[in-house]
Amino acid sequence: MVLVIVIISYIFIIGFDYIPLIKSQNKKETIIYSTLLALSFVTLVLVVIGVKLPSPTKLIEYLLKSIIKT
Amino acid sequence: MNTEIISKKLMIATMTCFVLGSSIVSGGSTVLIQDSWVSVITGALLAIPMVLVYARIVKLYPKKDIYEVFLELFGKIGGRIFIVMFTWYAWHLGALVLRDFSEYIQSTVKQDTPQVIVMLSIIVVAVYLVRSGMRTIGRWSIIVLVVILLVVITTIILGVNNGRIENLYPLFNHKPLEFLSDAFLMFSFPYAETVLFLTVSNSLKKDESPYRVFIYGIAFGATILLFVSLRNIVLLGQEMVRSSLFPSFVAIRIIGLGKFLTKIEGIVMINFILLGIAKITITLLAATKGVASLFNIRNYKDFTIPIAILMVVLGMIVYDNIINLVDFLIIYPIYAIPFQIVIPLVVWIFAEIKFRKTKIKKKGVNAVLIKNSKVYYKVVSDLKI
Repeated sequence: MVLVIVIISYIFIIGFDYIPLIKSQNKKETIIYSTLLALSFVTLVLVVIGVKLPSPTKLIEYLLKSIIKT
Repeated sequence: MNTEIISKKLMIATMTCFVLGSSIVSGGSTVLIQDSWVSVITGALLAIPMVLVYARIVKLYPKKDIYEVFLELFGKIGGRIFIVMFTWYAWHLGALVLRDFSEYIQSTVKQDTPQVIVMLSIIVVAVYLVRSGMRTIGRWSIIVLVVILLVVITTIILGVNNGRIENLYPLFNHKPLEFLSDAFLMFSFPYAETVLFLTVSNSLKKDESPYRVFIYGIAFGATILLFVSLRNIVLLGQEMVRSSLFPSFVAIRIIGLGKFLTKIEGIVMINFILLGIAKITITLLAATKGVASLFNIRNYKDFTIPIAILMVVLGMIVYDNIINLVDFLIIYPIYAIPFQIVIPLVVWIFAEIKFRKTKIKKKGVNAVLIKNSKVYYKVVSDLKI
């Protein structure tokens, strides 16, 4: 169910936000937007289907704790 | 109409909402239990020198946000390194607050709703506000602030009969070092987080004083937090405050006006979420502006949606559970030092040096001009023209 909501949301985003940007013919903005949108879609779908992505907070915790110990 | 320029009042309201943000749910730090209200004050006092540094940066560069200042002071490469760091901080903080609120909603009322749906619902409002501009954010903040003030005052009045003033005793029953570390915790979360306002500082009207904005924003936020913290301790008692993750919610739960007005926590909870949206909006705005500055793009609003979704993703993976959230809060003050203290201090020092150099240069040029004009008048008078 959540996955369906996510996919429908992306259809809306592409229709109302992405296509107008492509039409504006600003190449640089379109490339950055496409990259960010693709990245957000892939990561969000992975999170929704239950794939465990590495948390940056754990890395921060590990680094800070090792600094404090030394 | 420029939707990006706002008055001092709206900026103060936005900052107050930002300070209260997620802190109002917990009523500030609860480490010192009955003495936790002390760290609400000492944390704010600790934060004042730092926010004066932030304000000075704004004063030196009134028409520029911090990303433009980075590029001007440290060049294209150095400036971009700082931009990446600051954007990361905004993005990460936004994700932390988002997770905070989704945990809050899930553990209090919406136990079966997936957190990702809660987060997406919150971020939609934040995206709308960012795209509408700073003026809309300011107006949102002022309305939310008035409602929150009414809620805090009402809950204090209604809670008078349920509270026990003895819960505040024994006063100052902790070691000085404990007071200091808790004050530092309050300094970094939430007061010094106002460093993110440097990313929207160019939205402040030209003649307004940034010092007043920062000081009043912190002062109003601290005052409301102080009352919330005192209310929670008086109503709940020391053990409940110690064991509860969201003391404000538990405190409001026991408030009622006889049998006529009970279970008001639902209405109050929605108001807390509105306050949280104000904080998430500022972090989203800061992160979006950062990405746009990194790639030298003027219209930052185009990237709001993908960055907002990435913030939700980070919010989802940032902790495994609510216990990790509490654990991370312990080391958060150390993690935040580079963003809240080191970077602003470096920027301030470099900005002051540059400002003075330009001033000396200007003085030199003026002196030469005055000297030349004097010589000219002397020549003219000698020639008796």
